[in-house]
Amino acid sequence: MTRKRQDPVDVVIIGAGCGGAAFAWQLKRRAPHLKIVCLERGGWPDPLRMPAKTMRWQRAIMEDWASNPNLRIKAGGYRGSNDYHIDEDASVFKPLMWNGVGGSTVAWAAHFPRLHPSDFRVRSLDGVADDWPFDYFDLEPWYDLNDEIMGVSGLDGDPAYPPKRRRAMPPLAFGAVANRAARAFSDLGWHWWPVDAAINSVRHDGRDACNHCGPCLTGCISKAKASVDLTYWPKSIALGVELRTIAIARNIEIEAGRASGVTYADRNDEEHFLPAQAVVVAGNGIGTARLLLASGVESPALGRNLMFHPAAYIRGIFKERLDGPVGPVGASIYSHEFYETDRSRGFERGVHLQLSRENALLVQASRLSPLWGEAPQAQLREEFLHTMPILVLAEDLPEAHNRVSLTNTEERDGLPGVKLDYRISERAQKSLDFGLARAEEILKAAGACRTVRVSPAPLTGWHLLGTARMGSDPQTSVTDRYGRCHAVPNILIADGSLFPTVGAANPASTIGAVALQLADHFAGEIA
Amino acid sequence: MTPMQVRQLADLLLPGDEAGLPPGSRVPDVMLALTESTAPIIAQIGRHPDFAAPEKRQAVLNEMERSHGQEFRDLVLSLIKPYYESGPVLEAMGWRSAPPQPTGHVIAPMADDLTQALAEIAARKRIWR
Repeated sequence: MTRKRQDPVDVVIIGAGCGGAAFAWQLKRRAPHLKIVCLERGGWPDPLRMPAKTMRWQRAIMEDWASNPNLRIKAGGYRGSNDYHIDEDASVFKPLMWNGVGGSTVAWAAHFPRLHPSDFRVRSLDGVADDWPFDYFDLEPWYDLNDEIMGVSGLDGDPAYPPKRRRAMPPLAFGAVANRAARAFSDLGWHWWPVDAAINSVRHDGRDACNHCGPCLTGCISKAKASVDLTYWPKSIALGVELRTIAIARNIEIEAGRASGVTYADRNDEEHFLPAQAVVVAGNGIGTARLLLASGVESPALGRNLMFHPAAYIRGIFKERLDGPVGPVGASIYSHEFYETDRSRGFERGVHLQLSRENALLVQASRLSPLWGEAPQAQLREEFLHTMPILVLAEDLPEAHNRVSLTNTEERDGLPGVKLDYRISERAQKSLDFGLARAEEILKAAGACRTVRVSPAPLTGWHLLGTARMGSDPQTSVTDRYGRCHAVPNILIADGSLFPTVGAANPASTIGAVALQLADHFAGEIA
Repeated sequence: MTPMQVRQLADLLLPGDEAGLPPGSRVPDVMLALTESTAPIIAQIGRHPDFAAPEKRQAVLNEMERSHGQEFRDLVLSLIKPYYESGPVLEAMGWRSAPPQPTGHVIAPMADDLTQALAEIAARKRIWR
């Protein structure tokens, strides 16, 4: 295939999700003279094609708007996410992502916690894994800046964190389920707090307030939920960053240890070579490793140390009617009572407990066993509108055998196939079991007449982290503290792949903050 | 499969209940999905000699589920989807038939008594390290 050589640019960013968007905006702001192009394999999310206004909204959760790209491919629909198949058979957790402008923030729950200060110092404090090359307080200015751009609802005064700047909006509405759960936490004397959510509780930044419609994971028609296609990208484009959609990066060209540019395919499958001084990769913990491996970047840790957050659910069934499938699905209250290490529990590090909300009726019906006949319908009668789920997230620690690797096949997008190998460690399983036991106590205190555990919960693989970790040793890390690849210094990484460890809290807030910090440093370096 | 067998199959898979949940054969989109389906397993069920006997139909489906696991599951899922999307079923389950948007839902704000609970939590010493 012949390639069309394009005019050179200063910086190519690959991936228009959380990390790529924040990096692009901050770099252009700091160095306006730079010519910056972002290549995004998918398209813009189109609210007109989101399903929440249609009667098929429940089915969409399982098919063309499923969180798992393999399910979307199976459903045959294209809704802006230009997906690639992932061999996930050998992974306990199935990867969830969105491959379009906005990345997975298009289809996320927008729960927006920061990591704790201790999460950056796990080696120093607890003797496990590695410390980050910087700490919470180094990152704090960029956490604040990221909060400002995304727009955060929440409440000041949470003793689980160092004091933060005042949240831009008050907390989201609780609903019956969070009011009941909060009382149970308090009855037990345990910490709980309204979550930080990147969802408008009131009109903010030109976007409406959330109307609690429920299916956040199939895109937000009202635009109350922040996603970087709505927050960072309009600002970046206004500054002069060029965003090319349906542009699949196939190879980073490397000559004499330096990247010379990127070969990408456009919507007509025509290949182009875009020369650049530097290449920034932000394709998430799977996509980034896949592209770097396919481009021949040689680094022993590349693709290894894949971390999710091992997750499990426990659902309480109540006699009383609760809310049902309404309200922001992942954004009501949480507890970090058990987040920090307590060695008497028998494991290092801790768990995050998060109140969730009930699944749509059809989703519940499709997960019953048996699936047909009188029994499942009777079970649904008992459970629908009477359920309180609590999500337990455990901290993953880096393990080299958990990895992303290439297969011998070529996918439709012209890149090698990609495979996940991931199993839960004994330590993480202990953490989950501990967290489930605490969550069960809460549900009992709240009045549940019975509980049902789902452990592990396979379709929770949103957090794709650690496969190109930061560090100082090229044998055990892929980049330095500024995101520069040890092997090819003008390739930078700006997504969750960089995380040396992951805490037990959702990563998007930290991904954005780290990307801003790296862009700030890079602007000084390239200027 | 005859039209009567189609109705029988729909009602075995989705029998409904006395509290108002309709049987599968009473949900037009379920019947449409079943009659338009090209899944070979439907004809196999219809041809099964025991399917003609009401008391043996359940056993026929149990047997088909064992012998054709994924095909049978796909068939059931293809009917569950239109069933639980239908307005009468949603309403019989105590839910509304209108989709989530544009109206959304009204949910309760944080209860007043929790303000004091939060103040007590905020007064705790820090729990971060």
